[in-house]
Amino acid sequence: MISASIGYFLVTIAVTLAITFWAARRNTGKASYYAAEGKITGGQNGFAIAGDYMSAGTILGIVGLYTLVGVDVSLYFIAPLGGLCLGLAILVGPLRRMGKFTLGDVVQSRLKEPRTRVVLGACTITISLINLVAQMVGAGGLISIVFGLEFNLAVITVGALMTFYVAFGGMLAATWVQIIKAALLVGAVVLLSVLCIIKAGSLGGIYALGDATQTSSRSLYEFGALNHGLFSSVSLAVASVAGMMSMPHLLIRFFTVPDETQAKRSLLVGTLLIGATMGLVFLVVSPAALAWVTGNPTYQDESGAVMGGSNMITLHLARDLGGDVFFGVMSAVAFSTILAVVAGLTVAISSATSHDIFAALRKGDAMPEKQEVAIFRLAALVTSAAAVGLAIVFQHENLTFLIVMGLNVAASTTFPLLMLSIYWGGLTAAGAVAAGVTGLITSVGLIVLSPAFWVKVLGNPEAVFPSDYPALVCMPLAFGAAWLVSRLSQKPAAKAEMAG
Amino acid sequence: MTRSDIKRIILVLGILAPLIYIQIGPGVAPEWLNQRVAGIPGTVIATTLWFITMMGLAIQFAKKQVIESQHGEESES
Repeated sequence: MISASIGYFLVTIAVTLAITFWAARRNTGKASYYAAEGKITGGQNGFAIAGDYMSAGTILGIVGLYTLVGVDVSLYFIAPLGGLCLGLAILVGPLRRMGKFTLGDVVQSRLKEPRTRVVLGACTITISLINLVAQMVGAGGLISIVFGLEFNLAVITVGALMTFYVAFGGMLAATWVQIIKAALLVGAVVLLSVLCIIKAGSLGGIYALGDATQTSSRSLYEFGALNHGLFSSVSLAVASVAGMMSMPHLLIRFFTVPDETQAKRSLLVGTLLIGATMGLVFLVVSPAALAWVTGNPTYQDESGAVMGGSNMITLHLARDLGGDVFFGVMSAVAFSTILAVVAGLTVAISSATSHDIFAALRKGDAMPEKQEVAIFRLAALVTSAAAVGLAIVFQHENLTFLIVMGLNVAASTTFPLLMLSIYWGGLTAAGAVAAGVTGLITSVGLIVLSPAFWVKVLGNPEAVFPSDYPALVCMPLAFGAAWLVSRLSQKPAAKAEMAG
Repeated sequence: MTRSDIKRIILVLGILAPLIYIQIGPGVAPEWLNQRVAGIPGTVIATTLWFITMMGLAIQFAKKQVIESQHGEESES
């Protein structure tokens, strides 16, 4: 089993490295590294968007979470789909017209002040780093379970690979790795679903088998298992919708296509692929995992928990259905998923560092292109090191929770900044800085004080902030700060205008 | 932001609102949702319908948006 899995993993790594070498030869400057020179077609970019969206959280985390909370997991993927719908309706067009390489360009084109780019760059780095940690946790668990390798060594390996992809291949390599990964993922989920239905005899048969494995008095097929209460449920939905509309690594994909029409077409293709795959994961794969993996002694460790943790349930299901060969294939697909997403996230962080923060902080002339690309590559290396360290700290967290944490920060920072930059004429540079800083400090601060971090990670007896989802508090605060500071900072200009 | 953009926002949030409400806690969702059709729980069927509706909306929005931006590009050229 191990030798077959090693073979699949090595093929995955060889293919992705070949793409990186190919891209490295084509990359000519910062336009290549940041946005693949805008030469990706709408259809290709649609696959890449689906690849970026369907991360380790989709194939590993959602199924794991389903076996714990049942149908309540639907909120974790229907609400983000709502975010994609709204993004398509109100954000993609203006974004494509105003931006060039990064989200910082969008705000800069409206406000003409470098400090706004620095703030948006800092927000992009924070959001993408949280997501990156989630992917690294998934990668570490996956490699540990397949090879029996220590978690720390596994995440260091992934960190080294992602540095190589991004530092040499840039956005072009990341895009093609995403396209291939998305095609593999969709194919694997379809095959897994077909095998599940064949084994159970019918879709209803899967649910009947799932009934037999449930020991709790409440069925996991009933709503309410999460028992979040009104505040957390609404806040989670707000974070999912607004956060998904403003995730930097997804939005910078719209700069890789030649025009606005291709940008919108790519989001349509991406949404259809995401919808079809997520639908099968929810309707077939997740209940099948409940039926054949949960409570099955073959997949339990000495303590009775699922081997490798809840994030690894999909892989156990693959082994149950297709033996060691299918287990190896699914592991390789999951691994390619993680590699692709970490590459996309690292591009987002590196471009925000070199193009938004370093270039904006430099006074006077524009930074030479060669120097900006060098900073981009260095940023990829530093990002990998930081992500490896944080993944080791958060290795026991559920992947989906970590991803939702990133959505909370995005909803509180990049969402207000982008919406106000595009749609509110009264926004000033000071107001934009106030919104970004307020959203970033409050969202990160409240996540640290939440039960998931304050109690589970830091080991305190009680959380200071009662919910794991602070977007409902932080997002209005960010909008409020933007409005108040913009009003105050408009006054001298307005007075001068009146005097003139 | 146009009036049709605002209508789209209200439509998407309006579709999501009941899904959020019934997941607040146990017993909030109506009892009939727990009945089964051909062995499939009503909650799963309802969620799938929500899902299909959201996908349908995305397709509708995308069609209109692509047509609008094509008109825009033609008039610019």
